[in-house]
Amino acid sequence: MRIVKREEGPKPVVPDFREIFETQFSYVWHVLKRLGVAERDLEDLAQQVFLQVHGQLPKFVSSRPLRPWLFSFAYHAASNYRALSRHRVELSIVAPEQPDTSPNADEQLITRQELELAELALARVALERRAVLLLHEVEGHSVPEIAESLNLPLNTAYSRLRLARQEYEQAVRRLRAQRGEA
Amino acid sequence: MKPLETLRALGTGDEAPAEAKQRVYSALMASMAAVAATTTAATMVQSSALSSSPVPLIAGFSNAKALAVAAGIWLIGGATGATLYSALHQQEVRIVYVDRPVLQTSAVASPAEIAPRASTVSAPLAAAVDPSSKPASATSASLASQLSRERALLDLARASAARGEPAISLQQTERHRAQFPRGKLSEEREAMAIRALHSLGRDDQARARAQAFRVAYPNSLLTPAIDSAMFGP
Repeated sequence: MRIVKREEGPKPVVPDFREIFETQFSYVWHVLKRLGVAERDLEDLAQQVFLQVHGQLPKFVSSRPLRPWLFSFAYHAASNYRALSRHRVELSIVAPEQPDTSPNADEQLITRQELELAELALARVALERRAVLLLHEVEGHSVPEIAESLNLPLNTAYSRLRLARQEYEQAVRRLRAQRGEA
Repeated sequence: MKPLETLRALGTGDEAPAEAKQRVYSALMASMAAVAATTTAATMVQSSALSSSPVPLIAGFSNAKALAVAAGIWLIGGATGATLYSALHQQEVRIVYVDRPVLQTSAVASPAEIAPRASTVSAPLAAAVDPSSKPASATSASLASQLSRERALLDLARASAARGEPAISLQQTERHRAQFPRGKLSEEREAMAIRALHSLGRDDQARARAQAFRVAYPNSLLTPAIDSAMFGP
């Protein structure tokens, strides 16, 4: 039946919502998480995001990359979420200090620790700059692409990236110092 | 490793929890149906408010208020309101019938009451769906309206199932199947029909149809719901 479906019509201009949901749910989920949404609110926010995606889908230009577009919905949802003060309080709890007591220090463990540290440091970068940092450093999108998706002037996007890198590196240094690393 | 390099190694994350995905999907389906119903109802109320009273009767009684009041009346009016409304606004009968069922489900309308209304719809619906009578280029508006008609039918079926009336639910899914054999919501319809068959104790039929469902929709998010209904959690 699926084969029949594929043969039926010409290539659709608007991507299929169900397909987007199927393939991009995890992506949106993790973006929301990294943008500071508490675990217990992730489902609500993900639902909000996909509802908006569904509404805006006819406006999506299929030549554009999908993920930065999805990211912009997640970013706005996370910003609104952060604007509620009750969530701001929660955020300090979201990224707790995790002093490592494990005696093993093999390479894999170090990598895992590094990654944990990266997530924690990321959580300390201001949201508007974190969004640019995530899209550029983690996902590898170009700055002009990011500026377009987040509807930012190009210069603003560049300056946010520069500041975000600084903030992130400072956070890493501070976290390492707290852990007694060099 | 330098801090920024570690950041690059983070990647976009693992698979999100499957149960969460399933829950979000179900919630989405429900709210989309609700949004579609509300939008149509609001548009309809707005158009009737604008045509009947272009000048506010009392100073400060804004259009927004009029809309809110009209919407309130619309919501509480239930079946009686619908009957009155359709009698007074003959030209809008089709819109009323198309999206009304979502609201009807909240008022405790008896199935006998729903059935003749739904059948009133079926004639224009059948004509609209018949490919031979369809113009060659279907507009997106007509597709959207087909979708809302499909939803309306399935909402009736869902409401019947929720009321513990699987026989009526099944009947309504069959009506959907007759009118929209390849409808956009066929997947939901089949899932609902399977659960209705199972509730009626017609397990052989439910199993056969579940089997066909798995073949037709191998990646369906509704499969776990069907399985848990038939084989327990």
